[in-house]
Amino acid sequence: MRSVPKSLLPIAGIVAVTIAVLSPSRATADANDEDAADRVARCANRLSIAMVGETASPDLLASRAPQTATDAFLRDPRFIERFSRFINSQFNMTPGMTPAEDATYYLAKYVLENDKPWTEMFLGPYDIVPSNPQQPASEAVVRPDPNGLGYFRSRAWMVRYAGNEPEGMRIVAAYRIMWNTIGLTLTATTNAPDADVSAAGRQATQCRGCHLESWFALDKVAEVLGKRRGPDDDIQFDPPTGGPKQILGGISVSNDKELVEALVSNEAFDVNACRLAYKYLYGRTEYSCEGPAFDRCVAAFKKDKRIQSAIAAVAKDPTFCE
Amino acid sequence: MRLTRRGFIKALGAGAGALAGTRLAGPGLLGRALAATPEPTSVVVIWLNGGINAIFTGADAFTNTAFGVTSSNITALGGGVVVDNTLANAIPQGLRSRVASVGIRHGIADHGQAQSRMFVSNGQSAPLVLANAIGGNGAIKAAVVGGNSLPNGARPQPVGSASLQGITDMKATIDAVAGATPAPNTVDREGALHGLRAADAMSDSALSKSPKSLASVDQGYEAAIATLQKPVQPFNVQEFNNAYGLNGTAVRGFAAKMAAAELMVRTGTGFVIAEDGGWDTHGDRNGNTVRNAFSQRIANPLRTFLTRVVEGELNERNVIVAILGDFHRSLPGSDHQANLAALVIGKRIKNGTTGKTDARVSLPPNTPSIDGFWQFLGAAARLDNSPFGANPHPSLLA
Amino acid sequence: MSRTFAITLAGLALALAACDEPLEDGFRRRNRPLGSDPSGEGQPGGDDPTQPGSCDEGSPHVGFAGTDFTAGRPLGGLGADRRRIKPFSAMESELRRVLGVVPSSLATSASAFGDIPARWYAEPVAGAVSLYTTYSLAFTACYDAMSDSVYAQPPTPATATEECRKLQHKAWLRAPTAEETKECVDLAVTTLASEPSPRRRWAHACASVLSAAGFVSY
Repeated sequence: MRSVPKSLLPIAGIVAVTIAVLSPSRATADANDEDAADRVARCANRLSIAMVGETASPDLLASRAPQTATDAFLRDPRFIERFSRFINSQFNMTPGMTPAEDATYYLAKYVLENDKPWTEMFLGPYDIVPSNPQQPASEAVVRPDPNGLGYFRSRAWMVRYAGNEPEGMRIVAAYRIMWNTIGLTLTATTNAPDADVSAAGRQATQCRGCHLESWFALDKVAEVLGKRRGPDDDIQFDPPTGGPKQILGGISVSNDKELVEALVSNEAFDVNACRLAYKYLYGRTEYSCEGPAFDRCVAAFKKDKRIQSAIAAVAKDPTFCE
Repeated sequence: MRLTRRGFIKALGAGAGALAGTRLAGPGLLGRALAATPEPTSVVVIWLNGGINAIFTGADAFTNTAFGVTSSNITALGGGVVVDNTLANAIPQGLRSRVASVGIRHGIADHGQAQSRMFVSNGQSAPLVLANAIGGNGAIKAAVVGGNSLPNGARPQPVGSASLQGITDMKATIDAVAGATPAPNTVDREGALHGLRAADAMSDSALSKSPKSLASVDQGYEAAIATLQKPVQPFNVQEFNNAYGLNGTAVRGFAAKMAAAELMVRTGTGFVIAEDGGWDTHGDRNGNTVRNAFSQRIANPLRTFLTRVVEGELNERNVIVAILGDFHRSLPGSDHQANLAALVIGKRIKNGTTGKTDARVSLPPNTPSIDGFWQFLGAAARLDNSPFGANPHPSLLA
Repeated sequence: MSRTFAITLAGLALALAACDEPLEDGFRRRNRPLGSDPSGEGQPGGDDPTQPGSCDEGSPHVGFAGTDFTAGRPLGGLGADRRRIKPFSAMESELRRVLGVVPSSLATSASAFGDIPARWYAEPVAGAVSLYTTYSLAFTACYDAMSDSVYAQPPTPATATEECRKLQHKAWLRAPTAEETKECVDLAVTTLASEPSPRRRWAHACASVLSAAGFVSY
């Protein structure tokens, strides 16, 4: 080894130290590369399992930008099946007793397979019916129906949520429609067992808020849905009477279609779409510090009202992966 | 060494071995008086999701007036307890004097609220409080057979050593308590015990960053390790299949749930819940829907369970079966009545009723509510220092 | 009784009975030690921009009657509670990814992880039986995969450290900490020293890694 002139030693020493400080060692660089590779692999697996319930493919695990695979996942039949089931579980407390009662599952699947806007779930001209009319428990199908209103006018859904209000008011249906479109959730008040649950009884102090006074006042919303009539084994539905009502904080609404149109054109609908996206991808609603990512989702969803856009916004967001 | 609750209990040896009796005299090892029972005790709740028609708890209120009740399709069990024959025929003769109807005047006519609030007492999960109080030598203190949650999807936080564990496959559960058939590539229980302990220890990082979303993992390790620490309890899937008329090992359908409930009672579980759906029987004015459902789905497995476990083990165990649902069905349309009664069967129960309604399905105003039901169960289980408080239905206990 | 209605985030009201019940015994869960909250969830974060109190919470989203439909969000930091339990549908592909083999018993094990009705979805939940079943399936898969001569020899501290670290990294998709590797090594070398079959000792260590939260969750 050639000796270094003494006059240069201090400088050489300084330079050596400087080089050591400014440049990571090769071992550290390798470790950083390994960390980066691990990070994208975890991201790939997180995306794949969240979207379709299965491990990422080897190509995706090795990909430098796994989140770009989101669009392909959104077209994957495994995603469509899984997300349709998810929506059914979000919009109903329990599975239906017959396939037709799971109208939300069938229509969600139809909307996704046909790349329709999410508003079609609630406004689209469809009817979900048993494939064999003689067998109510037969597999259900989505049929075009110019009088359809998403799944809200499918008979099985209407009967399932007909409710039992003494005068036939469709209060349960009113609540379900708002729950499914804008995510409204209410907690029922406990009554004395013999409490008057009629329209008069709902005037009571502890009931009026939900039923009569709030912007979502259930009785007022139910007025535009018409009434049910007849015994439970032969329920009939009558159209609303009495003209337009002022509901939802001052909107004039005459019937179920106008109600749903008002609901899906409100900011609350966009918020609920992104909340569903978070619940699907994260298994929970968004947390407070995820607000900005949530805002990006809402902005994306507003552009084309496709639920895929909401899901993509969340899945592709940098915060989705660690 | 990091002090953890689980480590503390392990160090004291409180989880080891099979204690023959379960009563602990005086203050417990944790410095508190432990509620315990004088004999192996289990409470089995059969939850009819949607509601329970009062023909199953007090049928004589409707004789010749409602729900198709006549004098020929009901049975008086004694002490004023009169039930529909589809249920009466499922109760072995030897247990008919040990049946009571317990009134619950909860004022709830909403499914979600009823399904949630029936399982909460004093702001805590009543099943887990009960299971923890019962104690006993079962590794799994509280189980839901055929599912992973209480009605309405509730998964409560653990209470003491009691967390809610889902039992969804008989073979898998038996393998956990008894071990699989030995083979070179088949796991052994002792190795699995050590391996799961190590897995638990390796999970700190993930569990600390996701304490809510991975809570079931944390609780699962604890219950799995406790299960593997217990001596082998030999069970045979085929024996259960033969007894309950089953084929396969998945806990699917009510008969399989009763089989799984028997398995869990035999392993020492203090609280078991089996849910059956489809009981929101609007329009069932003549009661035929609920009678058919009961006779087709519930009666045979219930009878098998009562015969094998409650009557058959009367000298060895105190097994209490409570049949209830969201609320009774109202009149005239079999809609939602904001009160109910539970039909309770067990060793320490005697014929009597605080759950008989009037002809409009109403209960007297002074009928206790939800807390009273759990207070009754605590007393029926003969808990020392019941965490629920005094029993407001003393006439129903022997 | 006072009015009890509340506009809530979907599902929160119905989940009240399941959430945040007080721990009666005074001990915290092992993963939430007394006096600290490693996830930062719900705690003011000081200057940490990822934590409540310091983070950007985004914009209000005002709808009907001037209601902000994002009010009442749960407090939580970025990255909090993000891990989820892997569904059974991922188990085959995950075992294949890590080990290259899948035990034949996997096909009949689905119900141990919970039955989901047709047209329905449920967030996977772990439990004693599902974790034991995971361990059991992993043990068989590990044993079947460990036909190499290295596994015919009893694990030593050196060989176990190398194998454990490698497997943990592959299974969890991250480098393990020294402590995590030590748990695996101690199991293989010390705790299971009385197991006469070296291959079974290795299989237990492997199964342990595949039953840890790093693998059973994502």
